[in-house]
Amino acid sequence: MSLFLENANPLIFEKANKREFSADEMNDAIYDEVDAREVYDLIRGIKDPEHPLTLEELNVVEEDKVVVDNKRNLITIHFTPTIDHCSMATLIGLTIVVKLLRCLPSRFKIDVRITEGRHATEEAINKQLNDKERVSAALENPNLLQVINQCLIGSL
Amino acid sequence: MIDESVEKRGHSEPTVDIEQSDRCDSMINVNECVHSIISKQLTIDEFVVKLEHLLTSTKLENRFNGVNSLYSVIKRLPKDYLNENEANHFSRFFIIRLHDQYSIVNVALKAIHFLFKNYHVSNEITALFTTTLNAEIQVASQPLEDRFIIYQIFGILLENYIEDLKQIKSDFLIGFIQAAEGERDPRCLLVIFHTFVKITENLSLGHLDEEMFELVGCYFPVTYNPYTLTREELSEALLNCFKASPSFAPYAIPLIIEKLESDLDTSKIDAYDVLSRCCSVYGIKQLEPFIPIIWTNIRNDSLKSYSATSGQIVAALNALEAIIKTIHSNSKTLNEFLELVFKDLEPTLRKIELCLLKPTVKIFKIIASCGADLYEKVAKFVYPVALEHCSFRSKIEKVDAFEIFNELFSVVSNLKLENIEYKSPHQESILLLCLSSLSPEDSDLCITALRTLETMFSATLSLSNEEQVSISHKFLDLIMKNENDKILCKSRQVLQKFVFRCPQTSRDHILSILFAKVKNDCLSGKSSPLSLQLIDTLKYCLVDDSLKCDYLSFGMQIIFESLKAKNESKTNVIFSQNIIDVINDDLDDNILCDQIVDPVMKAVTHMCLCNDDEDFIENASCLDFKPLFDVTSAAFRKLSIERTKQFVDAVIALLLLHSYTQLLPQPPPICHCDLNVNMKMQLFLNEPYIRILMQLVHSLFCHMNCNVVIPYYDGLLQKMLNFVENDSEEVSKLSLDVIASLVNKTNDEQVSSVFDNLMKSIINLIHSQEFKRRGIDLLIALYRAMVTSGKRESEQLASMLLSFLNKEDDKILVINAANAFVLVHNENHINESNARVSVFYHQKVYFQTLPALMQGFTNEDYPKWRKQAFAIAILGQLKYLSNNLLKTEFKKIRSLINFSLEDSTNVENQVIALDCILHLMDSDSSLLSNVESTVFQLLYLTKNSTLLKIRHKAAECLALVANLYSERTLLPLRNQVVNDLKFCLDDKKRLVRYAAAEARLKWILIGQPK
Repeated sequence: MSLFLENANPLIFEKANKREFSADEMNDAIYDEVDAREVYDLIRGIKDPEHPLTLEELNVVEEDKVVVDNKRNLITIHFTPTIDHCSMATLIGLTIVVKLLRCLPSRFKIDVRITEGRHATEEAINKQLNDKERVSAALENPNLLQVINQCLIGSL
Repeated sequence: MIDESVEKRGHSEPTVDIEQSDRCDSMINVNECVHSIISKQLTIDEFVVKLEHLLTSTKLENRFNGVNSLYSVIKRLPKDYLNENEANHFSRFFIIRLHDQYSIVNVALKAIHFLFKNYHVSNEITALFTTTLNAEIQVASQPLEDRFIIYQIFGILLENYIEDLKQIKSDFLIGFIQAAEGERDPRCLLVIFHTFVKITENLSLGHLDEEMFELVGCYFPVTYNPYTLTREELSEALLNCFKASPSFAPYAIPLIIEKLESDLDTSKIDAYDVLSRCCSVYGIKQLEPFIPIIWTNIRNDSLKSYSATSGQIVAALNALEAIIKTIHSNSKTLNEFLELVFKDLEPTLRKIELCLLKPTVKIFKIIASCGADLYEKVAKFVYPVALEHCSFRSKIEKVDAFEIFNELFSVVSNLKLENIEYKSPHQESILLLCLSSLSPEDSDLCITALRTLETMFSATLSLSNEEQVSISHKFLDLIMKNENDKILCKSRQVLQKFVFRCPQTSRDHILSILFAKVKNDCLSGKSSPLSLQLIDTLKYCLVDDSLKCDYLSFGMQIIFESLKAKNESKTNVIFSQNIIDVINDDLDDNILCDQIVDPVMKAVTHMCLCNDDEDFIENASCLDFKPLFDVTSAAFRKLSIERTKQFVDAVIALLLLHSYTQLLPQPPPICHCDLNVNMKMQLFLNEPYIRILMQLVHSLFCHMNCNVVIPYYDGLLQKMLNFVENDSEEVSKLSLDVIASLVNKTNDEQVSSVFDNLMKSIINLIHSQEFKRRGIDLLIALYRAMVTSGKRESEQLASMLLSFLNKEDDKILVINAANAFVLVHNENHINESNARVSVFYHQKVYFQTLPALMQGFTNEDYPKWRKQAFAIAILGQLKYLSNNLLKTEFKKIRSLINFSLEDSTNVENQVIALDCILHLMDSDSSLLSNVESTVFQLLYLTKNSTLLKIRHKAAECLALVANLYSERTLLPLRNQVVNDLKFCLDDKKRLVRYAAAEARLKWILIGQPK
C-alpha cells in the first residue's frame, strides 16, 4: 500500500440509525425475506482500507444501490469509490464480496459492481470481482487475506 | 569598624552565592529568601540591596534572573505584606523594566499584573503604566502570553482603578485601542470583549466612539470555530460589545444591515441576534431611518422558507419583535411601519396559491403578540381577508384560512387586556363561520374549525349568552350525530375547554341533555355505541364536584342495575373504568365516601341479607361483580386513613360480631324487607353470600392504606383462616389474599403474636390430604407478604418451603412451591395494594435462599423433575437482580446454567440461562466450565429451537464466546461452528440472521491472519 493517501480529505456522510424491528419481525410465525436494508447492514460497517472510516461514512455503499431479488436468489450491489482513479477500488469490492460470502445464505448469487461511470478502470474491476476463481485465488494470499480481515473486524 | 566590616562581609557572602548560582532558578533560593523576609531576619529593602548587582547588571542573563527573583519573592509573600509605598516603588520599577529586552518584559508584566491585582497603587503609577505601554510596547508584536497578560491588566485597572483612569481617559483609551487592534487569538479576544464592555460602561468615549467600535466591529460576525473556545462564547461576548453603548448605533446598524444580506447562515443569524438585543439600547431615533431596509430583509428571510433555515426564520422574527417593541412608544413611526408591513404582506395574505400564507401569518402573529393595540390593528387587517377566503375558496384553502384565526387567537391569552370582557374584531363572524363548519361531512374542515374554537375558548375572549347557547346546541348536535372518530375525539377536547370556560351554560344546555340521554339509554337497556361514547365524553366534562357527584352516583347506579339485570351491554364496564379514572384524578374524600364506598357497603350488606336478592346471589359469579369491586378497590386505595378506619371497624363488627348496623342502619327506601336478623345471620356467612361479602372484604383489606390500625387482629386472622377451608375455591383464594395483606400491612409485634397460630394452621392444612394444596398456597402467600415487608419470621417460612421442595413427592405442588421464590420478586401486586415494601428485599431473599436451593439442585440423588424445580426457583430470581450483583455469583450458578440450556422442557429457564451468559460473562472467560459442550449446546439451540428469542440469544452468545476465549481453545471447534451457522444464515427470522451473520464472521476470523 502506498505511504500517501490518494484521497486525504474525503467527504464524510451521516450514518444510518440502527435498524428497528417491527412487531411482525418479532413474530416467529411470519417469514422475513432478505431485503436490501439487511444486505446493506452487512456491508455498511466494512472499514475503508485507507481511512479509519466505514464504507457507509464515505458513501461508498448506499442502500439504494443494493438490489435483492429473492425469487431469482440474486443480490446486486453497486459501490462508488470516492475518487475515479482509486487504486483501492478492487480491494474494497473484494472485501464486500468476502463479507457477503461469509454472511449470506449460499443460495444467493452475489454480483458486486462499480457504479457506472464512477471509475477509470470500471470494467476490469467488475470482471475481477465477479470471477469466482480469481476471488478464491486472492483469498489464498495470506497478506491480502490479512488486509481484508482487518477491514471486516468489527464490521457488524 | 571591625564589626561593621564583618557584618558587611557577612552580607556580601550570600550575594556571591547568588551570583554563583544565578544560572538556575533554584539557586536564588526564593523560598529561603521569602522565609527570611517573613520571619523578619531580612527586610525587603535588604533583599533588594542584595539583588542590586543583578538588577543593574549589564548582562541580560543576570538582569533577567534579578527581575525574576524579585517577582518570585514578591509573589510568595503573604497577602498585603507590602505597604503602599513599597508597592508603588516595585510597580514603578517593573514598569520601567518594560523598556528592557523582551524576555524581561514578560516577567515585568507578570509582576505588574500581580501588584495591580493584589495591592492598591497610586494614580501616578497607573498613569505611568499607561504612558509607558503606549510609548514603549508594540502589543501586537508581543508574544501571545504577554498580550494575554496586558489585556488582563487592562481589566484589573478598570475594576480597581476606575477613578484614576478617568483622569487619563484619553491616554488609556488610545492605549487600549492600540493594544487590542488586530488581535487574533480567541482567548485574548474574549478578554478584550469583556474589557471593552467595562470601558464603554464606565468611561465616556467622546470622540473615540468610532475608533472603539471599529476595534470590535471588524470581528463581526464570528464565523470561525476556535479550538479552545466555542463560537457561541465569542459571538455572545461580541454581541455584548455592540449593545454596550447607544453611541455605536450609527456604525453598528449599517454593519448589521450589510451582514443581513450575507449568504452565510451564521452571519445572518448573528446579525438578527445583534439587532434583537441592540434595538432597545440604540432607540427609535437611530433605528428609524433603517427600518424599511431591515424590514425588507426580515420579510425576505421569513417568507423564503424553502431557502432560509429555521434558525434564520426564528432569528428574523425575533428581530421583528424587538423592533416593534422599540418603536411601540412612538405611534407615528409604528403606524408608518405597520402600513409598510401590511402593504407588503397583503399579496401573500390574499393569494393562497402562492403558498406563503403560513409564513405571512407567523409575521402577523409576532406583530400581534407585541400588545393589545397591535393585535387589534392586525386583526382588523387580517380577519376580513381570512373571512373572505373562508367564504369563497375551496375546502383545502378554507382549512388554511382557519389556521389564520387559530394562530392569531393563540396570541390573545398572553396579551395584557384591560377589559376582561374583551371581544376580538370580527369575533361574531368568525364564531358563526366556525359553527357553520362543524359538519361531519368534511372532517378536515370540521376538525380545523374545532381547533379554532378551542383556541378561542383558551384565549378567554368574551362570549355573549346567545353565543354560548348556540355553541352548546351545535356541540350537542355534533356529538349526538357524528360517527367519525377523529371528529369525536377532537370535539371531546373542545367541549372540555368549553365546559371549563362556560360552566353554567354547558351544564344547562349540554351536560344535562347528555346525562339524560345516557340515563335513558342505560336504564332502558338500549345502550348503543353512541351512549357508550357519551359516557366517555361526560367523563371529560366533570369540572366541579357537583358534576363529579352526579356522574359517580349515576355510574354506580348503572353498575348496580347491570349486576341484577345481567344484561350484555358494556355500560357497567365502561362506567367502572371511567369511575376509576375519576377516582385516580384526585377526588375529594367526602365524595369518594358518599358516592362510592358507602353505597357499595350498604348495597353488598343488604344484598347478603335481603330475601329479594336470593336468586340473583345464587347465580352470580365473581366475574359479574368485577366492575363493582374494581371501583371499590380503587376507592379504598385513595381513601384517607380516618375514613378507612371507620369502614374497617364496621367490617370487623360484621365479620366477628355479626353486627351489620354500622354498615346498614336501615334498609334502603326501595326495599320492604324486614331484615329478619335471627334467620338471616345463619345464611350470612355461608355460601353464596360469603362469596360476595369476601370480595368486599378483599377490596378493603387488600387495597387500603398500610397505616390503618386494625382492631381485633387475632380474631380477624382466625376468621380468615377458617375461610381458607371453605368449600368454595373463590372464597378460599380471597381469604388467602386478605391474610397475606393483613400480615403485610401490620407491624412486626402484631405479626409475631399471631405467627405461631399461622404456622399451626399451615401445618394442619399441609398434613390434611383434603387441603394440602391450600396449605401450600397459604404458605406461599404468607412468605410473599412477610418477605416484601421485611418481617424476620419470613426465614422460618422459607425453610419450610425448602423442606417441602426437598421432601414432597407431588410434582405439581413442588413446582408451585418453587415458583414462590420467583413470585416474591414480582412487584405488580405491591403497587396496586398499597403494601409495605422493605428496601433491598430482592437481594436479601436471593442470598438467603441460594445456598439451600443450590444444595437441592446439586443433590445427585434427586430426580430430574425435582432438580428442575430448584432451577426454576434460582433462575427465576436472577432477572429481578442487577447484573453487577450477579457477576460475582456467576461461578456459583454455572452448572445450573448448563443444566438449563440442555433442559428443553423448560423454555423460560433456557431464556434466563442465555441471558445470564450474555449479560454476566463480559470479559471473564473462566465463567463457563466446559466451553466445548456449551458451544455445541448453543449451536444446537441456534439451529433447532422453535422460539425466535432462544435462537437469537443463542447466536448472540456464540458471537460472545468467540470474543472471550483464546484461539487455541476455540480453533478445534471452529469448522463445525462455521459450517453449522451456515444454516442459520437462512433462518426464517431476520433478527436471527443478523445475529448468526455476526457470530459466523467472528468464528471465521478465528485462526486467520488479522
